[in-house]
Amino acid sequence: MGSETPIAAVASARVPIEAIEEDGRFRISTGNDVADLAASIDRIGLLHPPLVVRGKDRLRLISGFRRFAACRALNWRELPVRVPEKEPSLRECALLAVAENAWSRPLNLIEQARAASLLASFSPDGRIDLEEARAAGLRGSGEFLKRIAALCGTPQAVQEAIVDESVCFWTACELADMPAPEAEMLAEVFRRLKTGLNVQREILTRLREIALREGSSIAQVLESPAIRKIWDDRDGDPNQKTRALRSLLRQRRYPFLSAAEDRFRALLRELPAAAGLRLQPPRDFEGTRFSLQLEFESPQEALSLREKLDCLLGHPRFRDLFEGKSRGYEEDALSRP
Amino acid sequence: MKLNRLFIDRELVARAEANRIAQRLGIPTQEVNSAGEVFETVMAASDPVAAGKRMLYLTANRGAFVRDCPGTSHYTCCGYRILHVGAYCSMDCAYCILQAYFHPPVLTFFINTEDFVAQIEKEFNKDKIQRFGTGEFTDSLIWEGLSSVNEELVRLFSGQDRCVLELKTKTTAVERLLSLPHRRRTILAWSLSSREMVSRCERGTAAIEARLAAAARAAAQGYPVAFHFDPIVIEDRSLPGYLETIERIFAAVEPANIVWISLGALRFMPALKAVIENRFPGLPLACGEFITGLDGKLRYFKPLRIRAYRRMAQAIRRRAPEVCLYLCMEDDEVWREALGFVPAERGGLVAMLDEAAVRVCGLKR
Ligand code: SF4
Repeated sequence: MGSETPIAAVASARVPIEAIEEDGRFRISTGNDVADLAASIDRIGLLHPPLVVRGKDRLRLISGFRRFAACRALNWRELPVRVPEKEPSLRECALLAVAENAWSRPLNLIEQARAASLLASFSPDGRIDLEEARAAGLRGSGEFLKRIAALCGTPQAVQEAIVDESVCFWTACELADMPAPEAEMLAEVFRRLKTGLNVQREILTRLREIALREGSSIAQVLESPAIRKIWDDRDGDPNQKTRALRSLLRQRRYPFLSAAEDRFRALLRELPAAAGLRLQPPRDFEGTRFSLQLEFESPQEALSLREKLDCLLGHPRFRDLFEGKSRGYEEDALSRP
Repeated sequence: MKLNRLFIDRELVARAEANRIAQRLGIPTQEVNSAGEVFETVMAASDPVAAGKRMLYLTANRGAFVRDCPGTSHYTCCGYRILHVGAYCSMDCAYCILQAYFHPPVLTFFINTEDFVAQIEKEFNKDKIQRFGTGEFTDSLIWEGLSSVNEELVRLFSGQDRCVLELKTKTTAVERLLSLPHRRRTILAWSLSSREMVSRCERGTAAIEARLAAAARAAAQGYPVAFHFDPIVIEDRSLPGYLETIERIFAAVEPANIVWISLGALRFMPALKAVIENRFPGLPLACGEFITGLDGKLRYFKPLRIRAYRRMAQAIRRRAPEVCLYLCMEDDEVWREALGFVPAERGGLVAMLDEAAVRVCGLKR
């Protein structure tokens, strides 16, 4: 396709609306609600006529699907359209459809996916010509465009979650590789939790690892009663639900470590409470060094902490912190978390 | 070893060893000017980690043949010294750290043997007990049938009394070594696991029974033998398999012939996690209860390691109370909880292992 022969040279025409048929393959936009657009067209007029190409016996719509739907909703009989002067090939139609959308507004992820998939589907070897894609306003490496095109294969519910930004790009790509029911379920979970990428990544990784270790599936883990109860609650605060789910997944992914943390907290509760003193175990109980933090604002406060510290160090349970029992080395602690 | 391509450093092509190996292999051979050319070929493969196991690169080790074991200050190291004869491995274990250690990984064998011999002989002249091994960056015995490096090493070590060589393997390729005059200065050692782990995680390695049969043959020829349970995979119900292997050891070999047995739970640099997940999907190896250790490696939560070591140590001690049993890269707390003592109480781990080498291999101080 040389740059000397632009394919977008178009002529304007007015055609009966019945003469136009939609060719869904070329649809890029995800928006279906045309009420606002119809109201605007009704008041201001159709500023930018849809693009059609001549078909066998009818005209095929390749860009302007929402405008077309809005005009139909307004019961227009005739529609101003733009028609390429030279009959374009299917590949050129794809390029026109992508360019019309990509150069006129920012595309959401699914629109980018449709655009990439459209270019790939009409390229002779199924691969996207990067130069051509750039000319049409679609940016990104070949790998990115390939990954994003795969999102077109995800179930409708997943695509909707991607469009409303409940599911991040990384997560979307992961969902694209999953069985449809599982992907739909996860999309629903993320829609209800409204979390960012890092949390989505953590949740998905934990679910995957738990499922692999337990010999089950992500769907089965999500269906387990305690977990389902959290994400299925439609009214709860999303932040609280997210916290609860993360904590439950961590407990199930690291049962022995979580139990050790619980034991440590229980032991701390038995020690004399002291505001201003903070006792920390070794990270993940791996090392052997504890740390004790003292917080004070005045010499008097520091002195009073000294007394509290003596009291803490002298407590009979303080030594237990350093012994196997509290650290989970006893056989009974090891047989069940 | 199933290889499909041989690369030889252009400046080494005239060497007799290079020709011998090329003739034995009889596969397409390419001369290269630098390692970069080999790496490019490996990296072009869809799975470079696997591709690197099917290509052999003959080159010269221009650095040190003798290196210290890369231990860290947080965990007790055995003080073993590495003989760097080659790199990488033709077998394919899911947990093999070599997959993420070399960039890219490619089976490499060093043929500048004269430098190698000179460096080892220098070590022999030092006035101390030393333990050497070739099994850190490769499996010691995959080179059997391709090169006479092991034969040469066994002969070299047999001529002195202060150093011991440990050849560590998951193969059974001991045939050629059996009749050599080793004078017990070479230990033939096997990495062991449970039968289930071998079938799930180790592609191309010998079965546990076959490894132990080879160990029995080695012991019958007077070789001291050793066993390494490393890495131990801790999963629900994985322990009985390891305990069964322990029983099999003592059915095959007399404890008096065993220099040492080591225990080391699976640990790895975080980069290996993705390699395992990509290359062995469906294997829950990286889904254990790992925490980040003080050396930055992922390790099982400490109490889980202690439990596994404790049970395995009990089983070993029941059958062989005299055998030197040690933990690989663990701290004093784990030693005390699992084995009931810390190395310092016995002069330190290095001294414990030196003593075992003196006792079983007849080294002289
Ligand atoms: S035998 Fe050893 S060196 Fe070879 S792949 Fe297995 S773990 Fe790695």
